Amino acid sequence: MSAADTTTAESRETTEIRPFEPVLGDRFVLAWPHLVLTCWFCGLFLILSHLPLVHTELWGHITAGNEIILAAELPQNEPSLSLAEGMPYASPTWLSQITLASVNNVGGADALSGLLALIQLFALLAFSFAIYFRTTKKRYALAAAVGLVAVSFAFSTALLPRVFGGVCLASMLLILALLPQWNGFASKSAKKKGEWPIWVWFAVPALFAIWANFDISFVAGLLVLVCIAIGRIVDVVRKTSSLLTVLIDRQTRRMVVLAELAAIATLVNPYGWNLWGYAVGSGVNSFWVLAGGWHPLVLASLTGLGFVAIWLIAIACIRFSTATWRSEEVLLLASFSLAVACNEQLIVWFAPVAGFILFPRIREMLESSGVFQMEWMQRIEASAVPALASEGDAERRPLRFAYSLCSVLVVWIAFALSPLSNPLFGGDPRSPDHQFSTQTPLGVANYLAELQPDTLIWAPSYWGDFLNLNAKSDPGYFANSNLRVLPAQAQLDFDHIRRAGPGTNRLLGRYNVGVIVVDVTRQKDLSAVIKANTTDWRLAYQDDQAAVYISRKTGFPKAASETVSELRLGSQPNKTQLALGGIQ
Amino acid sequence: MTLPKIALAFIASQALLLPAFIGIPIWRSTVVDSSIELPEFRSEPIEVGPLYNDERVVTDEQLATVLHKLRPRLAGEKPKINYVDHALRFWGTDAEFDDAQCLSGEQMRQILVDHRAFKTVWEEGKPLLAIDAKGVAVRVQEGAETSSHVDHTMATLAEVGTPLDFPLVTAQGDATYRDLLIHALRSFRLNQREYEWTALTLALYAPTNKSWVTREGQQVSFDLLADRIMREPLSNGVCFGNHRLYTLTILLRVDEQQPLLTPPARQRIIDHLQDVTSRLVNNQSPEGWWDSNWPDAQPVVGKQKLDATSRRLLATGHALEWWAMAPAELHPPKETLVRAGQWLVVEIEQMEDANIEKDYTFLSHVGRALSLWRGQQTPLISNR
Repeated sequence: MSAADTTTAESRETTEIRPFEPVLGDRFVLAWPHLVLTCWFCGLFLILSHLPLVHTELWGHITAGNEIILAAELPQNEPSLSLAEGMPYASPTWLSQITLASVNNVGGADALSGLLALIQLFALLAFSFAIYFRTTKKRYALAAAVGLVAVSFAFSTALLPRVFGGVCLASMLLILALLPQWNGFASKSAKKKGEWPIWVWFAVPALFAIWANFDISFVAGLLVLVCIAIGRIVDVVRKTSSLLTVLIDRQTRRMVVLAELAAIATLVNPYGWNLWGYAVGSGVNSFWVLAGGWHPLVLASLTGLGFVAIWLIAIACIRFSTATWRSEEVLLLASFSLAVACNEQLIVWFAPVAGFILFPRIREMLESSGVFQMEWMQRIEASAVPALASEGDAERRPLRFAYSLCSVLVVWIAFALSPLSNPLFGGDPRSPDHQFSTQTPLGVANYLAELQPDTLIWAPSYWGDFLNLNAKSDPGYFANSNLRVLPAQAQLDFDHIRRAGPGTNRLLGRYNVGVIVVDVTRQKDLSAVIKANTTDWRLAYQDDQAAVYISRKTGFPKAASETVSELRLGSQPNKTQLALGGIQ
Repeated sequence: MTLPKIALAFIASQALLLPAFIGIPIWRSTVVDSSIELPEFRSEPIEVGPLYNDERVVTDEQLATVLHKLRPRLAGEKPKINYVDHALRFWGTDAEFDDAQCLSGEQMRQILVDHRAFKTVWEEGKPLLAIDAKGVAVRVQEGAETSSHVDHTMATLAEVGTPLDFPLVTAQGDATYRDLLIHALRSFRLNQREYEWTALTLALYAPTNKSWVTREGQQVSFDLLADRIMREPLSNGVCFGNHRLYTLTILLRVDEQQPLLTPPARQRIIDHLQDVTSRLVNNQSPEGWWDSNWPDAQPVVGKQKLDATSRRLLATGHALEWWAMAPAELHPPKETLVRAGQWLVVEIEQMEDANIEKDYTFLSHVGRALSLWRGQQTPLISNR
């Protein structure tokens, strides 16, 4: 046999023996836990991307964002409220507003839903990775992702600046988890040495510089760093009984300087150090007011139950964990718990911070309990290890990629089923009924977009943002979700009209309100008062959700009188128009 | 223990940074949480006088008759305070009368500014003036011994030329007119129900067009104030909305002497008042009067607080009053003015004393309007 024949034969033999040999290495082999994680995150992404958009503040932020883009400067007054002229106004979430407005301008409601899903997915992934680095186990990463969603889902479904803040908070926790003292993968010597990689000194200030322009929750990030720094000082003093050792301790100095660098980085914003004034101030633009103000936690609520669940876990950790509690952990749990007690919405800050502290202890507790030594757990653990190329018989070797392929398939299916795939696959946008929450006044929005009143419009504050989106002329709406920036008298008068108090018609005249939008299900008293005053008001539009009355006194409408001279009953919104641009 | 150099550097940096981290937020919070910021005042109100002298509107003889009938017969116990301040605004502080039933201008002013004088006519009841944390308050709409409208008394004193340091005597001690003005500003809210007289007074004392910050934290300029005045439907407000028109006119007049408004705001006021004039011309009755329906001449329906003659005297007198102070570009044709003036004269001549006493507040506007049309800021014709 010649050499050439030998080579040909070997080549044929090779082809015959390994017809499906994969080109990817072992690092791409996944196990079933990866598939479970993929399914969880993709499922969550799908749910979030199909959630209807909220009917309230989101649209105000989009209007503000458009104003900023148009004027290329930050507004001095609330951009939608003519009655708020001269009132102090600040927009510390301006970068979120620009982002939201740009996404809406490019892709409309479907793109906004996609943005919400992507942001939340990214935040959850960052948090899960942080927990993974803390615990070194994927099961805790999955548990953290599930737990965080369970506790704060109610506040995570609205596309508001705080979701951008959530990404930043999770990213900061991930950075911290990569540092030796919080990283479960770090060796004991590395922990003792406590050296930080150089990139941390750039990454954290850069993160805070961005965060401070996206959302007010950068204060929570600073609080985390400050609590860690103070906790470290307390621990060093307790350990050595000397204040001077604090100055010698490198770890303490590093933490203090990192917190200070982060704080200084937050000054990179259009308001400069005034932003700090808003952070601690008490005016209408203070962060406390922007975060929802005094809104105490109610234990008998979903949020309250989540809070209790976290604290029950914390109590179990205190009771059963053998590791020493550090002062920073106590400070963090105490300060964030206090914040939630005053304002339940802050659970979106508390939950990830609590998870960051508690999961290593949960791991320690569970592992010392022997639960993972049980036979069935051992079997599960063994099955969770990815198959390596060197293992198993040759015929089954390619099957070790089954979970990898399934994971990729799940990701692809999730993308294909989400509205984000429409530009790629040419699918139709969702109908307005699916794009917007059921409380969104689509019919009224469509009617008023056609009418374009040039007079002040009174509408429920929770509809003001959405309805204002298509308003092209002043003076616009009496109020929106930024009711707080109206002068106090106007706020009182708005509320008086909402409650249909005595003299409502006189008050409407004082503000020269020409159009009233009444929520017929929630404002029955006002509806009755306006309906009874046929001298001043005539019903111009009505559907199941709202009624629109037009003043006879203001002589409105003039130009549009021909098109709206008759009452429109049960008029349905022009859904195609709304979907294609009416609400963009 | 010897500290390493890096520790010393750390101490030094913290000595600088920590106070900054605590101090800056507190300092800036006081800046961003804007508090009340009062405007500057001139020491005496700017003079805004009549611009015209037209005997076609009212002749000397007619004016003398009207003034005689409208002399302030307020001497004696318990004169209504809103009569006193309307009469003071009409007659001015220099007015003297031979009639013992009448109060002189100075006597009227003393009742308003001096608690001792007030007490001589209103022995019982609460004082008119009261010192509180904001300054000096005037009691409003609490009966005949109080002022009829928010800041009306203050505006009256401004229009008769009261300087800022003019002494006030209250039951709690001495004060000045400045305290009255400061109280009004500290209480002022742009969306309050009655604002016409506060705006008028501010315009008369404003040395510049600088804005100020109200108790609500709102930065208010005269432009915003003017927009607020023009915001409501025309007939809204006291005296069928006429005081809003008068205040707008004074804003224009003051602006001619010193900048108060931006050009666009001034133009908005002119457009607004020209629209009003056009409506008044179109809706004037053949006899010369207007009624409460002056903006649109829609039928007057429902129960009215005043009878037809009183309403017409009120609407017509006020219209002539603001036109008397307005730039000529805002005037109606002369015929409109003459018909209105002559109708007023005839009505006043025919009025019985009892009716004059009943409607004295808005009749004082009629008398003042007719005087202004003869170029008299305060009536020059003696009633002695």
